Formats: sequence, C-alpha cells, structure tokens
Amino acid sequence: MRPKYLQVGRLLMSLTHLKCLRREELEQWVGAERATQLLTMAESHIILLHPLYAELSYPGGRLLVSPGLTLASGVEFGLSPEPIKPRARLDEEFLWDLLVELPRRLEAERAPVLVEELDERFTRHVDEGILYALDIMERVASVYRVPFVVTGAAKLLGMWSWLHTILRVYDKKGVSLLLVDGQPVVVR
Amino acid sequence: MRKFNEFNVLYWVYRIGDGVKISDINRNSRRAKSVVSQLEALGLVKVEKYGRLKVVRLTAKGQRVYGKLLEALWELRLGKEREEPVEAKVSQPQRIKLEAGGLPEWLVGNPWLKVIGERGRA
Repeated sequence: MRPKYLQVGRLLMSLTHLKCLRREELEQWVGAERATQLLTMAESHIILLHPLYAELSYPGGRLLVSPGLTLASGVEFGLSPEPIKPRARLDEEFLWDLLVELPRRLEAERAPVLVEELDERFTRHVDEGILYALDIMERVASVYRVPFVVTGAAKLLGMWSWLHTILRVYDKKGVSLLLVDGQPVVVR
Repeated sequence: MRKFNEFNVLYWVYRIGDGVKISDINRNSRRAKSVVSQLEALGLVKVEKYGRLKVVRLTAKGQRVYGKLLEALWELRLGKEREEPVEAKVSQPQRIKLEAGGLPEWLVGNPWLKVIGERGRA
C-alpha cells in the first residue's frame, strides 16, 4: 500500500501536498532522479475534495468566492468562514510558509486563506517575490480547492489573472468608486 | 436501511456533488452500498473504478438536480436570484500534473526560486 506521507529531502510531505510543488523546486531539494520518482507517485494520486466556497461581504454587497485567487484592494471586507493566514511575514519565510506550512494547515483544517498586503511582503526583488507567491497560491488553491483572498495595492490587479477582483478607485476629485469584477457598485 | 424520502435524496446528491469515494459515504461498506444502490435505482449516481478506488459520481440526471440545489443555495445565502444559471460542474478526480519542465515566464530566472531551493535542500 502506498504510504500517505513521503520523505521529501528533510521534509515529511503528503502526496496531496506534493502535487503543489513544481519539478524545479523538487529537483533542487532532492535531485532530478528522486524528483522524477516523487512526481510519478504524485501524478497517480487521486484527490477528491469538495470545492470550498467563502462569502466575502464588502460595503454594498456580498460575493461568493470560489477556489482560486481573489484580489481585494482598498476595501474593507469580511470573510466567512473564518480564514487562515500565513504566519510568516516577509521574504523567504513568507514564501516557505505558503509552500510548505500552509498546505499542512489546510490538511488539518480546510478554510479560506487570507493573504494581507502582498505588495509589502518583500524587502528585495519585490515584483519577482509577488509573482512567485501568487504562483504558489494558485497551485495550493487548485490542489486543495480553497479560495485565497489577497489584499494589497491596486498594482496587483495587472500582475495576475484573478478569479474575482474588488477594487476601490478614485476620480480626479477624490470621489471613490467600488469595482467588483470590473463592474461599478453603489456603496450605501 | 429504510427507503429514502425526498429529503434524503437531496442530501446525498448535495453530499456527493463533485464525486466522493464510496468509503466517504459510510465507513460501513454495507451501509455505503445500500445508499449507493438506492441512488443508482433513481438514476442519480454511478460508480466508477480507478484501480482499487471506487468513486461515486452523479449521472447527468444527478447533475441537473445538483445544479438546481446550488441555485437554491445561492438564493438562500445571498437573498437574490443568480443572474446566470449555475452549472453543476462535476469534475473528474484530479490527476493534477506538476509542470513537466518549462517554467512560466515569471519564474524564469526568479531569484526566489533559488532561495526556496536552497532552503529545502536536505
């Protein structure tokens, strides 16, 4: 019988978690030969998870968010059920948390994930860090079928192909407008 | 097990949704089989085998019922009708492939990939 957990370098990892990794990451950790073995095992592993949906309530409405990446910029919102957040804040600690620790937590408790202020998480190679973090989140969201809600500056909008977007924009007079998936909404 | 009423049927259609392992229906295999056979008799589910794994999935009829349930849930949760009809997307069991070589452009030469690589090395 195939073991549920595998030794991946110095990490103990489930087959489901293994599916979140790219070949290039694995090859650096365990070498090309072992990476191929692990990839073969991961590919034959079947995941049966219901998609997890979350309700995002913002001033003026609510949005049902599906598994994938949602951007919320410049807007206060509530998320239900209660989301989990990465514990580490900056640079490689943050990326490591997304790639290694967060999937472990999702195996214990599937919940929406809230990643706050993504554009302030890197002290160097900022754009590369944001893109790598988004790439990891997309993989984890796809494997564990949970929604990720990311907050941060409006520049994040053009950096990824978001599933949903909630964005506050301002006109020249400073009047704000809320755009939900590109559509203006009336804020009561 | 006694015969299902409509509520039981709707409950199981919702629970099966995207497909479940037969052991997830009930750990007692006789009970699980009883549930599945009643739903099969109604033409709502079918059992597919993937090696030793048996997966219970909705038929086209089951998917239609599931779609209507999702519509109703949407209305209950948000208090309004959904503008576009909800499609019950019943996915295949996932065999997600890892990237078989060839990084996306945003990771080619990305310094963080190397940092994470060094950190995970045994």
